[in-house]
Amino acid sequence: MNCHGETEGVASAGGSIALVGNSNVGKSVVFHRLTGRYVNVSNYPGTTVEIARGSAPFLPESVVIDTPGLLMLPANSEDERITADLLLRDPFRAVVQVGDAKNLRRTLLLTLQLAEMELPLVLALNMMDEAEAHGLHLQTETLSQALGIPVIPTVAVQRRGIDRLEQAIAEARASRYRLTYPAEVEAELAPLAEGMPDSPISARALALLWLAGDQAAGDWLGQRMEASVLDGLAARRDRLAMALGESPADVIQRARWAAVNQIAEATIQETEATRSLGQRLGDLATHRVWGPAILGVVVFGLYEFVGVFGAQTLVRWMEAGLFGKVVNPWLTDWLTRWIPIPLVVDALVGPYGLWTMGLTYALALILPIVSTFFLAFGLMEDSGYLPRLAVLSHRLFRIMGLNGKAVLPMVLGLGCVTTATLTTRILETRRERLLAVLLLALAIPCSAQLGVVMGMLGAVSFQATLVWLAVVAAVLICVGWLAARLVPGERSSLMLELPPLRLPVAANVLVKTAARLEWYLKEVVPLFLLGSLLVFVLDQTGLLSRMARLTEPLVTGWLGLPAEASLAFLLGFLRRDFGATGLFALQSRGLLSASQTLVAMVTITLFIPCIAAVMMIARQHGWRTTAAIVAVVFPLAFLVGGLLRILLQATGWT
Amino acid sequence: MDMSPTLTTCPLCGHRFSPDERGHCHGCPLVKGCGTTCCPACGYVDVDPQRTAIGRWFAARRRRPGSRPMRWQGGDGARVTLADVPAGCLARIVAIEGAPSSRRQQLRAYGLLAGDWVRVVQHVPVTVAVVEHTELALETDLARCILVDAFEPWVPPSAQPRR
Repeated sequence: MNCHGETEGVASAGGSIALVGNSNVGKSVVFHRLTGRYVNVSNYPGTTVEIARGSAPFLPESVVIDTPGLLMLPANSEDERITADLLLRDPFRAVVQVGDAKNLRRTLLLTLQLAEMELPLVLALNMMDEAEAHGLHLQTETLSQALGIPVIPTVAVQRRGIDRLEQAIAEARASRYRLTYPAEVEAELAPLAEGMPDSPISARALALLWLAGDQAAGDWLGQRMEASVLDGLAARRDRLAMALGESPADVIQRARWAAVNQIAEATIQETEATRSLGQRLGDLATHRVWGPAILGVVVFGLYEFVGVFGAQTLVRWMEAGLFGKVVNPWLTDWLTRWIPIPLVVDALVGPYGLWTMGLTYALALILPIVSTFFLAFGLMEDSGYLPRLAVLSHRLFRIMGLNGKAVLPMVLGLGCVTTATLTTRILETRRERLLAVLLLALAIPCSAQLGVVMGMLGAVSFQATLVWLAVVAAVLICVGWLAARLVPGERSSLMLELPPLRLPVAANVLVKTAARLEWYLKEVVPLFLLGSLLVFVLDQTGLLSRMARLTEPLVTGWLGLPAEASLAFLLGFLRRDFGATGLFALQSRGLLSASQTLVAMVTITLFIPCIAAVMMIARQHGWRTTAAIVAVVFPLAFLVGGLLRILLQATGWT
Repeated sequence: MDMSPTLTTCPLCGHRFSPDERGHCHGCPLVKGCGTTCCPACGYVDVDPQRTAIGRWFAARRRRPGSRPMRWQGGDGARVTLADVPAGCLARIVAIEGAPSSRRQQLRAYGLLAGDWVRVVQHVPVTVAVVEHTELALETDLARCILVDAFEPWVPPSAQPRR
């Protein structure tokens, strides 16, 4: 313990342990080290958008809570507000602030705020190795004395300092560090603090949050105070702003910075450091000439690994080889011999059988594609390349009423649209989140579907792939442009931290890929089985052919596809990759021409991703918005598909 | 050096005025997003190069390092922002103006404080600045809200912004 003299506080009691800190400082890695529970870890700000909980073996009956990154209070984005809300609602046994050692001043700005809350606090200065590589030597003992809290240097990815951190958490005490603000603020603070309701944080800290205009604190107080009292508080804040001639938040922040600079000056010793290869590469990745060139190499690598190796080589090996020649014939033979009821055999291994359709689609067609994609994507995430992509794509997203930050959920959407929908929380305004969700639902194919599309179009021609890409991109941009003009509100300007480029840790990438694959199988296999069963029942009852006839004007007439394609589109309502796989099977049987393949792929790409994604959108934006999105997406998908068919016919494509 | 594009000179009467002044434009339905300037003294209307894509493109070429001094000590009253600092220079922040309060606080939370030096890495496609040991990507509009009072070339390998 490093508490000394006047700053020594009171012992903590009860509650759980919260991990808080700026974005991308390694909170989730520390969480994993403390609890043994794995949560998704990446090298870009905003990986954690929800709270994760895990038990702490070093403190029986305690729970560790991982929170989304928080730059400072007042909180600005939705994920930041989650953390702010948590601090206001839950009493904590201890709060562990995880800070980036090489950005000490920014870390300390938050430390002072947490210290003012009088919560039992421990500061874990993480990534000490990177700080040293930058020529920074930090006097943690001096820092500890200045703040009156334990300061533990850590390198969480290497497990360095974790034992000391666990010990410090067990003994955590509230800091009594108290910052004095300008006289006008102090004069207003004291009476405000007295009138504050009981809360897990100190009344003074709550009053400061109110004066700084923190929305989470405002909501919290709104639930506990009468409107007239709250109006009185607002009037006091306005009066203070008048007296100061500027926003109280600015004055408060300036006072904190003065204190931070004073502490940092006594703590940091700097020596000269040479620039690492990662730093140089990082600069090149956002360069106006080299940036796009590097992006081209990355996309080409992704295409070769996922589109060629995964979607063609591995799928051929799995579908035609393992399943087509070995597993399926053997199983059909075995079942026919031992089960005397043809209906049951058909349900399992018939043309629409649970095994021959459901599991073969999921395991032989989709699994190799998503495995290669998740692996490649994990490498990209951990290298720190994704935020650089935000810089490169910023101008494109401006057209769609967003800023470059929106590329993060979009690229995540190439993995899985459902999780990407959740990641839109990192965007700052509700309008931006809504626009991003609409574009995700409409035109971002998930990895499973992308792989099928690449495989099918690759079999047609490279030109076809380019036409598909151009049509989907044009729809994305046009709809984005239009929606940006129809949805009221302003675009927020881009401000994004670019983490250093790092060599991905193989173990983390593998664990992440495996975890995502498990999650994928759990979500996809039941739906694929359900879909197969549904189709089997429809087929047996004769409803399938009737439905196909019913949808004939749309599928055959408008899209110009064979009647059998109706089935694929019906499956597409369950999951669009399931539908795409159905189309893949049609193409394998030689039922689709080049232009039909293209029209079918464009239409199914523009479908709503899956039931899970619909649920997630409803959770985030409510059922009315979700219904509106669905009502826009499906007709638009068919409209674009039909128009493309007419265009292809006019230009002589067959 | 005149780094400030705030005033323009009327080619007809020689009056110096801000391009945002709209002397004779009241009531015009096209005033929002209009690409012209209108002299408040004589009413002469001219195309504002800064409001055309081609004009901005040429201006950006002119602002490249080499065509502009890499060192400036301030004191001449010019309004210089982080967006004007040539890439590869260290710049000293003097204030943040024009951005919404929440953005100002975020920028300060990242360490963009009056008196601090930051390194400008690039301006295209967006401005990238190194603050303490963090690389921060800022939209050019936001970089224009960050006023600087001096800049000088950054010399590697001493990569630390001077404080």
